[in-house]
Amino acid sequence: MTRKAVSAASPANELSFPFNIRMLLAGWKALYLREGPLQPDSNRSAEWNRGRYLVEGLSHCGACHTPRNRLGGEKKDEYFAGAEVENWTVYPINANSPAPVPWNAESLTFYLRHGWHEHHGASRGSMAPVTANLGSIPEADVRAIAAYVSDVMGHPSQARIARGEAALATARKESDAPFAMRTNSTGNGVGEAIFLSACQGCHDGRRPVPFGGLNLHLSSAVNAANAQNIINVTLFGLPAAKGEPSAIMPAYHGVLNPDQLVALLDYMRDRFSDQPAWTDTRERVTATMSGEREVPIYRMDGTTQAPPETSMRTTPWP
Amino acid sequence: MAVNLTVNGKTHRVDADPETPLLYVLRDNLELNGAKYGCGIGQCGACTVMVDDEAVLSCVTPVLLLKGRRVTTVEGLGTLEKPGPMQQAFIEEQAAQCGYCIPGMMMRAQALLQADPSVTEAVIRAHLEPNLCRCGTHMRIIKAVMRAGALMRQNSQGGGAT
Repeated sequence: MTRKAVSAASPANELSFPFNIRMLLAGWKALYLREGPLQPDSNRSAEWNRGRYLVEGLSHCGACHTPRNRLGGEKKDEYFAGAEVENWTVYPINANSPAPVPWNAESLTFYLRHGWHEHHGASRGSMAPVTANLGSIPEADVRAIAAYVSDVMGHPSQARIARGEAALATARKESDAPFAMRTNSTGNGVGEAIFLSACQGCHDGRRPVPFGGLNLHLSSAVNAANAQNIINVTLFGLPAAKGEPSAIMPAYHGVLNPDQLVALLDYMRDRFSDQPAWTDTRERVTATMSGEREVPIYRMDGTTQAPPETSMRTTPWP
Repeated sequence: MAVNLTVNGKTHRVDADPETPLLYVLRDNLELNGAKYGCGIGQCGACTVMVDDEAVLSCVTPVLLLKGRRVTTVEGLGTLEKPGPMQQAFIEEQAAQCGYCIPGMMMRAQALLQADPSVTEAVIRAHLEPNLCRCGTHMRIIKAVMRAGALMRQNSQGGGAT
């Protein structure tokens, strides 16, 4: 031998008990690992089957979007019913999607590929790395994923479609006349004052997503089960991607105290959502501001695909 | 409408709508022109000042949020005759070209160093990320902040004024 043998011990396992006992995984796998190839559904299109294959396998959307039981297994009877992961609220992507404008295969494809959609906002939090990655895989695969997921969401009811149209109409009206937001005062005091002075400037919808903030009539976050995501982005902002243009939002933790943030959140829920008021906002605000709820901050890597036409003209200057 | 605001240790009663961003009150009402309007939407950092111990973007901070809070601007870091360590460091490193981003840089760095004057360059780079510089003065700014940290550590050891 021309080389001396090297002793390279594997690093010690750093997982806490009982996760450091590899043998125990056998039990977990017996309960939750389904082995074998996914059988295509012959009643469905090739695209749908490809989508299901990707969603159930490599994309593993359910890893975040399906709630888990105490042993960490996905609850199959609550498929895509949403969950809370790393103190970010992961929305349901089944029939209970909180998006005011219902998703369809086309909007989902665009969103997953570009990291933003004019009717839904920008991909942020733990979703940012997902769209960052999906932006670089073949478009046909993203279409397939979108086809499958939108099928799981199901076709929205007429009532739901109508509500979506109404939300869009309100958002358009507000972008055309930004001070219309002011004249529709709900008299909600400090929450309204904070929103109009600190948030509306970007969030009135006059600058389209991803350049400007989403008009919140279109916001899933405002219609979600709790305020956690809005708490996260308001306190910590949305840091820009490194080295590439991306969406961005400033952080407000230096200027908001808990009472002010709670007032702001209550106002937003009241104004932009038809759903009943959140009940755990103060607990979440206090816990997030103290650090008890630890929130990982993700860069906006998922939004680096700017809209196709920015300042470049595509028609002759006359 | 009258609003009370404590800036650089002094309480002012300013005639401003409570929804007015702090930046406008600082510049128009109090003539503290250090903080600059760069973008107005919290994306460039030229408006950075301190509220209590944190660096904030004054262009997106309405004064109604600041009851009972202490605002510090670059003017509060020292005077021409007696510059504070941050100002001294920036002068010694000649860390400015057009100078527009500099007060914001200084205030963000001040918040960082006040919390821990011995931070490394990597930490300084990460913390200054919200502040943009179009002239490319970044290297000198970083050197100045490192120097300010050294001055602050020196002062606290020697018992000098900060």
